[in-house]
Amino acid sequence: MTKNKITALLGTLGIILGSCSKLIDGYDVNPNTALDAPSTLQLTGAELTQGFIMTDEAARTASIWSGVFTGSDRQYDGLQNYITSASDYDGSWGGSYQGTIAQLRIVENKARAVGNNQLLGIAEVVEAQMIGTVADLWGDVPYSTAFDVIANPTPTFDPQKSVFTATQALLSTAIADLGKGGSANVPADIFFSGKKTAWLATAHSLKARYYLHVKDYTNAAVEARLGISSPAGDMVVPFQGGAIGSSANPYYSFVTNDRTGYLTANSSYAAQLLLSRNNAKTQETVRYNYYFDERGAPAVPRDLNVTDGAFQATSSLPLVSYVETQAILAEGLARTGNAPGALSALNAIRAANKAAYTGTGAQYDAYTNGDFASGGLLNPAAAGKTSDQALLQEILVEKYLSLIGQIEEFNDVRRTNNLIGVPKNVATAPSLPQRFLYPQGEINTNPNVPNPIPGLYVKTPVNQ
Amino acid sequence: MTKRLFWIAVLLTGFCQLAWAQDRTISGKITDRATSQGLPGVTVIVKGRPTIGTSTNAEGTYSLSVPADANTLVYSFVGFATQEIALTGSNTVSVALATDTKQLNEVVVTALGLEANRDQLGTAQATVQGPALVRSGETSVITALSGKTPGVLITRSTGDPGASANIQIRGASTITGNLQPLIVVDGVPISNSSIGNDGIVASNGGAASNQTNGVAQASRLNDINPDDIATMNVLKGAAAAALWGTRGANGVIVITTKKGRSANGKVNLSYRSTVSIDQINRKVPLQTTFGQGAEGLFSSTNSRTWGDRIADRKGGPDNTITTPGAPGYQGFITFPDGTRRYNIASGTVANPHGGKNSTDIFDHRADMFNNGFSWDNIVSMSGGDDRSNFYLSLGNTHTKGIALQNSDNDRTTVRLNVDRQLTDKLRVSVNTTYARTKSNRVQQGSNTSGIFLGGLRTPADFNNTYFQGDYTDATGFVFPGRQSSYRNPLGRSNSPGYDNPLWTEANVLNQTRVNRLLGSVELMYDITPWLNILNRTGVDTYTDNRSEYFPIGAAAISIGSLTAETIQETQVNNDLIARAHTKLNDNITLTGLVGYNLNARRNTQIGASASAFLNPLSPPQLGNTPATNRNPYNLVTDQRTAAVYGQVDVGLYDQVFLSGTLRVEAASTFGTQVSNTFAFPSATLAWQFTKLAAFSNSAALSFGKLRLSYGQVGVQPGVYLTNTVYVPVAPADGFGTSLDASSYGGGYARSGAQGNPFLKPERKTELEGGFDLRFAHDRIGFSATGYSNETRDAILGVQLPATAGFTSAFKNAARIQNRGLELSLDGDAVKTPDFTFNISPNFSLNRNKVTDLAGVTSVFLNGNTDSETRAVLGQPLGVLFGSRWDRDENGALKLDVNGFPIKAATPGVFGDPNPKWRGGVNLNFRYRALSLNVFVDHVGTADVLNGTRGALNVFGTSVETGRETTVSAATAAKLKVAGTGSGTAFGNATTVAQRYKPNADGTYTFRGIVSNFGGADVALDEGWYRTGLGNIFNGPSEQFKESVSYTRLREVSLNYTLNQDWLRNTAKISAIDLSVTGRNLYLWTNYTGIDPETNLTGVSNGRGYDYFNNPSTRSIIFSVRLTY
Repeated sequence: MTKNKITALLGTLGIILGSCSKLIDGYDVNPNTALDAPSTLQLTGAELTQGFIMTDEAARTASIWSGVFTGSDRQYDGLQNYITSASDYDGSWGGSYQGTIAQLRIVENKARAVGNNQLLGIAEVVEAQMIGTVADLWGDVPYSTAFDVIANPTPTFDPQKSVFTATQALLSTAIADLGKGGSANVPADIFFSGKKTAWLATAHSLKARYYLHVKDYTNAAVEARLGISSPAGDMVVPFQGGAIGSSANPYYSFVTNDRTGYLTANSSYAAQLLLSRNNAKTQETVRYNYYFDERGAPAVPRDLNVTDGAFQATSSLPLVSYVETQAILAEGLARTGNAPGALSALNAIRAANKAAYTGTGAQYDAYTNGDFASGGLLNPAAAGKTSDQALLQEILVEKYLSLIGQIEEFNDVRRTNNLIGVPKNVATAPSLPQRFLYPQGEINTNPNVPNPIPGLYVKTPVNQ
Repeated sequence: MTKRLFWIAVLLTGFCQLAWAQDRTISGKITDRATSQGLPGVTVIVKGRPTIGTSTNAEGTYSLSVPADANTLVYSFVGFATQEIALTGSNTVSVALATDTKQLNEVVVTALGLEANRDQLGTAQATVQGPALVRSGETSVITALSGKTPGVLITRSTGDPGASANIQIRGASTITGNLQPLIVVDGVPISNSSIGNDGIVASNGGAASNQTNGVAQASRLNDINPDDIATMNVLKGAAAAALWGTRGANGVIVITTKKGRSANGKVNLSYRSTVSIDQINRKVPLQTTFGQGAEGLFSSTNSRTWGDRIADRKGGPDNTITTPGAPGYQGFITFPDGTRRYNIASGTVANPHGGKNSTDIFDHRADMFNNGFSWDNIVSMSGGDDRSNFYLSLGNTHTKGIALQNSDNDRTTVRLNVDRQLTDKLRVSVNTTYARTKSNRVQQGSNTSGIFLGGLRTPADFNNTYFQGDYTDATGFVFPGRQSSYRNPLGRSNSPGYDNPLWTEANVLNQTRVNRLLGSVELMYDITPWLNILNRTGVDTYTDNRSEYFPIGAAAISIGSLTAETIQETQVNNDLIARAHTKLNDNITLTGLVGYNLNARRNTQIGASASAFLNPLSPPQLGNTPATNRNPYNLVTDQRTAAVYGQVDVGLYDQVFLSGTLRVEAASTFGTQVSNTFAFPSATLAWQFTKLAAFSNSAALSFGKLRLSYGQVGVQPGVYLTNTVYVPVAPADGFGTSLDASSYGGGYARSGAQGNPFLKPERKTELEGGFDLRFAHDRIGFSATGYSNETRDAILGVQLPATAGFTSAFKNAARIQNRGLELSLDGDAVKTPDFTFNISPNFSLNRNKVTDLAGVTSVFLNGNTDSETRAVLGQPLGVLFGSRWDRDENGALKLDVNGFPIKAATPGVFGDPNPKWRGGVNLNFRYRALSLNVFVDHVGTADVLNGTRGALNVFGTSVETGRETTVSAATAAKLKVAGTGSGTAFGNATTVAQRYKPNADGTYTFRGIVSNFGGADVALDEGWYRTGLGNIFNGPSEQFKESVSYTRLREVSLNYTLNQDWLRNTAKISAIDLSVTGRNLYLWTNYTGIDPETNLTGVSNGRGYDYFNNPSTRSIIFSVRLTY
């Protein structure tokens, strides 16, 4: 073999090798799955995920630990007895961070890129509600360094208070962005179909909620006045009652299909409270029957009303509402010495109840100052409470009974140091559970998870 | 010079012959016994007089003058057994030589499909001859390979016709990647996928399939007709497979198909016909003592068989409730033969039998089966001339499974292999096969339509043969065509709970139609005598049309469903190879090659599923459903690989052989952010130390070779792991509650699984050493090989903190290692011209261990919840994982106050399904034209999870739930029972005395046994098995792990060859081979279920899980082959 031949052969091989990459280029791209999606579809996805997180497992656990519902079988027997482990929280945590906020960050970037301030503002409000909820449930959580897997593969945990500060800032930004105009309608928005006024009101209601959570009652009241102004403006997850697993109310799906018997209202404190509250101005039977049901099998003395009440397949569930906003206003005013204002807000809730619950067994007459005076309708002399104390108690009880099934109840009983007196499910427990546990997935993968890992009865910083 | 020497030799020979020429001339024709063609070049000598001889001419005839005192002639030829014939009066001696398999083994085929000399190889390589595959009686190539070579473990999924089988060579080399070896036919890689219901993307070529229900699909290698195979070479180690780079980590099976043989234009025709009768080889033992019901009372709709004692019944016809309006009247079902079935009153404490009088029992172990059969026909023609060869075959194998209906497999193959020397320098060969496989598959496994799931749970007192009829309700309304099953005997409900297995076999249809074309064209051009170029192009393409139909009333989906889809796989492969051979001097030979390989694989899957049939009388039609219940889908995968490779072989002094290979590869599945080429080297050394002077006179050791090799191969990442994708949003929790954004106008999210553009191929490094020895003039051969390998950068979905925006990412993170030993012996214990007895045992063991799992302790691979196979750090791959008994630090069971064990709070590893060792022995006796082959193999200690038994305990049909025990009153009063207080007297009882009624003599008889877990004696009764922990639903899975060994009489084959002259002269038939074979005749095992060679998840990384898997079969096979 001559040298030339060898050179020629090697040269040929070199060309062949060089062309290898050409032959395979482009075949790494998955032809079955999208590599991107329009920001509007991503908004729908993120909103629905948020709606699911806030009405599904986290809401069920929060309700059991707030005395509203009862865990009655298998793992839910455990939850009822405050037996829980870190792996119970992977779903809610992952859905909040990866399923909701990480997606919203992409939506926000895309909206900024095209100057769609309306879309941007909506995404920011949804994000604020999600991170606020996460901070409520877990305390110190990652936020400032989260959502950037390249720069911060293991995000650090921000103090709970600073997360709420950031939430307020984000809501302020959102309000500003919503005010800038932009695309008028975002039909992909499942909450308000892009209605700007509704989003602005919701943003203020949320600001009110998170001021309340850090016990800034003055600002809470200020924001509540700007918040959702009628039940028609409630932010609700619309459940259309389609097939189980498509658009049916998650409580309905869980109770009737997925885990029948796991979640009941047997020995529910909220139910007992409703049944024991009737007085000259109040009849709660209709509201009781809206949430609870005693028509079930004898094995389940009391159930969630999945037939013609709050938890039917088609029953939409509120995330933040007019009633909650008025309750914040009432509490904020009551705690800052404006009892008349507080009473007026409480009566606004009662007026809303009057509109919502009708017929025999429904009565919500307006309360007067006298009703809270010692010896009044709502302040038996034996209790030894001041008028202001009785008013605050009634405001919190009314809120507790108005928000049945929502996570916010769990936030309130912890924040108020259980002022309304929800009994513990476990006599030996030091208190009601004070938080959700950090999820196992995060513990496994993120060395920044607080150490020692706080237990179930350790209050989150804002409640200490 | 050479020419001159030749002529001198010829002259000398001629002179010698002249010198001895006297007396007589013997002539005759020497033929190949297999083909009856003349064999040119056969050496014929006079025994004891090596200088007197000749060789046959091109027609195979010879003529030799022999001295008067010569009494025996010796005929010898490479590749054939040497034969001696005593001279008689006749001057004509014609001999049919038989092939010598041991000598043929000398030539092996390498990874590239090129021939090599085994004695010069530095790696262990097993060769299985085509006839041995056919003789096994298996209709599939993979199962025919079972036990034949050390280091190769074949596990069939089920015994259904054409079902897939898993091939594992030297243990598992990857964790979640494809574990199946590469199959190369005539130098061209072909598909051996087994695509389950999870589709082409998720199953990653069948590797990651987690199908615990449905049907067992085929392995696509089944499309090859074993009769067309000349040899199968199994390349086990990394060095042998290194030229296939990232497709070689699981070994390579190189199949060479039959080629024609030159015989002066003569065409050989052969025809083989085989009939086999198959039957179930092992049944699940069931109890037949007690009837349907619970707590000892008969109930005709109870799902359990914890009812009354059948023998205690009155006998005769049941008291049925036939009067409309009477209490308990529920209408009736009318069966096609006019028989009506009415409701039967349930038992009471006073009369546990209720209206049930009949003591008839039915055998549900096998009432869904009868004999299967198969009929296999193949006709082949071959021939050629001095420039061309051809082989043409047409074969059909029809197998009807043992299920009564709709379980069969029909394969038709046509193969044409042609080669021709076009010019002195250019040779072309074309190999083509067309295969059509159609089959009906029967439901199995964890599946309410599985024939065993419904069948084995059926009470012994229920007759499954009436499975369908018209139900007339209490008001007289008729519902036609209702299914009758033991939980729904009248067909009152449209949902039968579990399907009656006979109904499933008659009505649930799962069909596949595969059309496959395999073809290759090879051009070889000799540029110079020492350099040639070879280009080989191969195409493998098939279309699999599948449909799965559940009619209205199926347990799995009572509204009915239909899935129709087409799966297509196409693989195009091209190799361009330049080969050079040179001899530097007398002592050094040098061979080298460089090659270029391009491989493209494209799979598509398109189909639709629909449910809720509108017209129940319509044939299966997607359109016979509401528009909202139709779900179309289409999927594509494309994979491309390009590589250059080279090999250098150096031979030194004809005794040391060194070989080195290198493959440099790029593939579309590699990340775009890493260097897109990866190199896989190998080096081997073979030293024939018996060529040393010290051994030259050794009579005992005739050949000895030491081998040493090192190599690297890889595993390609699965398709499309390098990009992050956007997926439809459907949030769900761990309890099954979920929403779907498609109901809200559609919503998309960036997937939580982060694509990894840095993904590299997994890399397996293996060191292998061994030796091959032959003794007593090569009569005995012994081979030993040890190896150790480790796969690094194994790809795993690694968990990420959700707070960073993703929940997982694919990473090159894990490690897994294998170590093993393979031994084989092949010896002619007796060898005379008329009688030979050959014994060839083999033995292998492998130890596997997952050594790194990227920080996690275990990864789910396959199975049902709590009956899982997992990758666990520090354990072999695929360990059985699930709930266990709670134990103290010494391993003793922790007991509750009553003496019963407790379920541990956390699940863990409880078994290893990888066999400790495997061995086989083949015995071959041959007396003249009669031969007997016996093959036995053994699998030593592998754990199998008998989930079937674990489930049947709840249902009260397993044989262990049929036992009865009588205890004294005193014992009964303190003997504790298990079971929860469900409010009934039965549930609230804590002792035998409380739960059961005493006998007349005061003793207590209960259904169950007295056992002891290390504390007090306890009663294992219905409370334990049905409501307590004595079953797999409530109790730990661990208790149903069985450590199993099994020995299988895999093959007994008796063969007789007729090839006498009269046959040839009168019938023009050169040979008739008659054989009778017993396949899988007997199984010795301690396993309590079906044949333990089974796996629910089929070809996957799961192992050792039996959950209502369909059983295996044994066969008697009669075969006749005519050769013209």
